[in-house]
Amino acid sequence: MPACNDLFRLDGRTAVVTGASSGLGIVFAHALAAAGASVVVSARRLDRLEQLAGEIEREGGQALAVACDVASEEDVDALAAKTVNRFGRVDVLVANAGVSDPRPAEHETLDVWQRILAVNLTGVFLCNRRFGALMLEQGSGSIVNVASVLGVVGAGQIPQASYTASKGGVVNMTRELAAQWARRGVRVNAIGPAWFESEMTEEMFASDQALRWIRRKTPMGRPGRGEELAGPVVFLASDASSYVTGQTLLVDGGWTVV
Amino acid sequence: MAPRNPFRLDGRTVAVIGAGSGIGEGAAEACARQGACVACFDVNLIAARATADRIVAAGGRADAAELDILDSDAMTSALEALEDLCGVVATPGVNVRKRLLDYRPDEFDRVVTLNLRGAMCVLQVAGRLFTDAGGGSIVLLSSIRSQVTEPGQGVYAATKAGIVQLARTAAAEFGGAGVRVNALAPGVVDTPLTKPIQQNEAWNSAYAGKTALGRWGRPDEIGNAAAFLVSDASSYMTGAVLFVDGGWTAIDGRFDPPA
Repeated sequence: MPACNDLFRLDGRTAVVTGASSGLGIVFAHALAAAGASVVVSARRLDRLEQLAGEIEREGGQALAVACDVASEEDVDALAAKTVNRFGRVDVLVANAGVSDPRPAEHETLDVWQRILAVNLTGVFLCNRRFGALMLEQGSGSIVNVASVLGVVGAGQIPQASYTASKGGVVNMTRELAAQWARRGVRVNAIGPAWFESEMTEEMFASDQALRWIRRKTPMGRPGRGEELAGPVVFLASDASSYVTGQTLLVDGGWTVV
Repeated sequence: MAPRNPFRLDGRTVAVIGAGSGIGEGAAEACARQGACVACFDVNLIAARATADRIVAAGGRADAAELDILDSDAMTSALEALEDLCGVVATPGVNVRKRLLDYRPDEFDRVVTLNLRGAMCVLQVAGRLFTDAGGGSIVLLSSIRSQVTEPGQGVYAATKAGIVQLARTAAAEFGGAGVRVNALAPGVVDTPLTKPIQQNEAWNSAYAGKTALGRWGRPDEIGNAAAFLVSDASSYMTGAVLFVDGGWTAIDGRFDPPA
C-alpha cells in the first residue's frame, strides 16, 4: 500500500465506492478523491456515475465509472476486475449501496424483505468478500461498510424491519470479517449514520413533522449534513485509524445517546 | 480553491490534560501534527514541558503548564486563558489491579476520584466554557474495560463505564449549544503505565494475542483518533464511544492474568 506522510490522507491509493450515483455515495467519492485517492465509482445507473467521474477528474482527481448491481456476483466480480485493470490494486472499499422501503412489518411482503436484504446485506457481503480477497492478496486494505443507527436501535416511527435487520447484520458481519482478516493486514469497520438528507430520505425531509421529530430527538438538534459523513469514512479508510477494526462508528448527533 | 481539509486544526488551540506521558502525549503530538497549538497540561510540569518541547522541536506550536485535573478552579483559569480553544482532551487515570475481595476503601477512593471525578471536573469546566462560547469538542478517555473486564479490573472498569455514561449525558445536555462530547476507548497500549505488564512475557503476549490485530496499540494511534474527534471531520459525532482496540471488543475470548 502506498505510504502517506499525512496519516489522514490517501494519496496514491485506490478506493471503490458502491452506491455512488446518489446522495451519500457522491459525498464519499468526492471526499476520498480530495484525500488523494483514485476512485472507482459504481452503482446501477452509469450515466450519473460518468458525470460524477467527470467532476472528480475536472477537480484534478482520477476516477473510473463502473455499472454494478452489488446483489449480483457477476457484477461484483466484474467491478473488481475493472478496478484492478485500471489501477492495479484496491486499498479502500466503501460499501455504501443500500435501499429502503419503509412499511409496517405486518404489511411487509416477502418480496420487499428479500429485495432489501439482497442489496443491503448480501450486496455488502459480496463486495467485502471480493475486495477483501484482493486486499488479503496484497496484505493490506481498509473496508468501510455503511451501516446505520438502525443497525443498533429500532426505528419504530419509520417502520422497516428488513432495513434494520440488514443493517444489524452489517454491524456484526463487520466484527466477524475484522476478526477473520485482522492479522493479514485488512481492517473492516463501519459507520452508523442517523438521519442525513439523501435520495433515500427525500420524502422524510419533505415532511415538517418528520423534521421536527428529528430535531426534537437529536441532542445536536438537527439532522446531519452529507459532508459530515466524509470525515468518519476517510478516518476509517486511512492509516490514522490503524488500530481500529471491527468497529461501527456512530455518526448520529447523539441519536443513540438518549 | 481546494475544499478545506476537515481534519486540520490550524489556527486553533487544543488543551490536552495529561499530556506529560502515554496517551495524553500521543494526543498532544497528533493534534500538533494537524496544525493545532497545543496547551500541554499535566500534574507533572516537567513531563508536560518535555512534550511541548518535542512538539516545538518538530516544528509545531505548544506550551506547557502544571494542572491537577481535580482542581476545577485552576482548570477554569487555565482554559479561560487560552485563545481559540476548540477542544479539550483529558487522559489522566489510575488503576489499582486487585480482586474485589482484597480492595481497600482508600484504593477504591483513589481510583474513583481520579478517573471519575477527574472526568466530571473536565465536563463541568470545559462544558461551561464551551456552552457559553457556543461550540467545542470534549474527548474523555474510557477504555475497553467499559465493556469487557477481567479479574482484578473491577473498580477501574466501573470508572471507565461511568465515564461513558457521563460523556453520553454531557452529549445530550450540551448538544443544543453545539458542544460535542465523545469517549475514546483504547485497548492495550504501550505506555509507561503498562510497562510492568509488557515486561511480563506471558502477560504481554497474551494481551497481544487477545486483539484481532495481534499486537499492542501505540500512543500515536490513540492520539490520531483523539485529533479526529476534536476536529470538524467528526462534526456530527457526539455521545459516541470510539474503540481503538485492535479489534479487542469485536471478538470474544478471555484471558486470566496472573493474580
